[in-house]
Amino acid sequence: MFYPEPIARVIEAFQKLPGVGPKTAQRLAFFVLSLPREEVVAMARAMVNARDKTRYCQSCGNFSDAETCFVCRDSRRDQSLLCVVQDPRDVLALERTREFKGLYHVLGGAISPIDGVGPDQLRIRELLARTGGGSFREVVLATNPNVEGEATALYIARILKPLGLRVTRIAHGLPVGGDLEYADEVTLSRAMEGRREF
Amino acid sequence: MRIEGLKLIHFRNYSQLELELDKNLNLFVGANGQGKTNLLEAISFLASGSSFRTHHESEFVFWGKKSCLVSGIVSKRFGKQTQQVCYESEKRRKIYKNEGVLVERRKYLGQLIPVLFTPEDLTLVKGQPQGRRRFLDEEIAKVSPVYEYELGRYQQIVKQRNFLLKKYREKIIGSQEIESWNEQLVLQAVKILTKRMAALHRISLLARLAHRKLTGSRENLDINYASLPTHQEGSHPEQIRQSLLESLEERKQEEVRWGQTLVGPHRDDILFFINGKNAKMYASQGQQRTLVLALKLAELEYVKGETGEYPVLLFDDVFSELDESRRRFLVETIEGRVQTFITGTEAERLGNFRHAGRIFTVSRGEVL
Ligand SMILES: Nc1ncnc2c1ncn2[C@@H]1O[C@H](COP(=O)(O)OP(=O)(O)OP(=O)(O)O)[C@@H](O)[C@H]1O
Ligand SMILES: [Mg+2]
Ligand SMILES: [Zn+2]
Repeated sequence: MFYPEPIARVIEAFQKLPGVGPKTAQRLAFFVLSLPREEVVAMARAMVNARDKTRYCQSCGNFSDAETCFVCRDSRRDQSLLCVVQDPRDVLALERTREFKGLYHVLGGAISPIDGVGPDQLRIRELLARTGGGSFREVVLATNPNVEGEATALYIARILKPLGLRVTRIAHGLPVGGDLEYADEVTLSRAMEGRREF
Repeated sequence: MRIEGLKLIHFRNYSQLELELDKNLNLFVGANGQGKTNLLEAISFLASGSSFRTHHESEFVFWGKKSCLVSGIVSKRFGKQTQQVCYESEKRRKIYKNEGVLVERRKYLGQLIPVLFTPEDLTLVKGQPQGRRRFLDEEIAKVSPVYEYELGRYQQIVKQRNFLLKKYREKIIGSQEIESWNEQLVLQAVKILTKRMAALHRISLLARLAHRKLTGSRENLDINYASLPTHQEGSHPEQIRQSLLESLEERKQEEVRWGQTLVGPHRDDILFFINGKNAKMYASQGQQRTLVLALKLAELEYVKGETGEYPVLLFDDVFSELDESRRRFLVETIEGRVQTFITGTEAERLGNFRHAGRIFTVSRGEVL
């Protein structure tokens, strides 16, 4: 189907969003067209504004509204403990636990040759620079448990260990509160592999 | 396990079908192109949402319809349950239910286990290694719910690594990146290898037994897992890991030249020997048929050993091609123990069974 040029461009734009196919993009585009002008302007402004105002922490790569983020600014945090994550959203998830008291380092993704992402596309050089100073006692690798996250963790471990750093990997285990019998087989078998001395 | 009843809606050439099945033997008889194989396919669809004939799910759906459904009452030692799979072609999704309640695929799999014997299986011995690997992987997946996941993970690692090797060849990256993938490749390879070798070891013992009976002790069947020489059933995982690493190191140049991962279970094979002679080279048509039959009988026992229940057995066409003595042996082995579904064009040649079971006549998507 051929749409007038301006509509076609909106559809095209929506299709760039993750998980949105041509059909959904069309629906979204027509929905936007049906909105009052002010609302459309407000929406577009909000996006541009967020894009302009959101900065990344110069130190850890987390979302930030200033030069450094709220974690890096907080002097009460354990300055000798560093947790490496893929995404700023992972920082937020870990912060919700209020358990981790150290600092973060956000990589901005995981190594995936197929997608053209190698160590140079991630903030690994920055990680080396940060840990090279000798102020960290332990680096916790909290990348995703999938193949790409694992590859990233392995790559980083290979370059950090020779520096004499203690490198750890977060455990992937059972969801708490869930009964053993309801956990799926993959989670269970992986948890079994990761068992430790008790 | 047994399927007591089967219901098909808009599956292949069946618009609507309800069947009450015999607990031992079900014969589907009819002319070509009437829908006999479609019924066996419906059973494998019911078991796993997939088919032995195609990867294109849309083919399952009755022409002009939007979805298909197969449901069955499956009884086991500990009771029975109704399970069903539905495929919606527009949303390209499958919906699995137990007793009418939505369940994840992972939890659904393994409730009904079919062992299938089709004319294509006869190419197993002389065909490509890929077919033999698939045979073994499918066997393991039937009894080990985690295997499919681990295998998928392994394949993803190989895919990523191959991509990297090509980049290295074009000098876009350094070798350090490849080395960090080696570690993961080897770790995952060890998991696959140990499972495969253990399973094949069991299957080979069972198959040898069946094969001996099928040949009146004239022939001896050996089945070997062909991998790196150091990989043997019973090898310590650490030993396997080491030899994989060494082999990766040795073949580094070659891997880069081809842009392919050349070490690991995705390159392995299964070798059959009859009286010490490699069956791939020397087995006659009849010998191949006997070998595959022995393998299928071993599968039955393997599943029984691992899960405590016999699977259901599906025979597409091949039954009538077996000679009298093999048919008799087969019937003796399975009768009364394994629920069996057999398709064929003539009822009389199927009649080796003492208990007649149920004979269904299949004609143009209807069963009488
Ligand atoms: N999606 C579909 N909708 C309607 N009919 C279909 C569909 N897919 C296949 N068929 C029909 O089903 C028939 C094939 O059925 P099937 O393969 O079960 O035959 P068969 O009885 O096993 O025959 P043979 O003895 O030759 O193996 C064909 O006539 C084909 O046109
Ligand atoms: Mg057929
Ligand atoms: Zn920060």
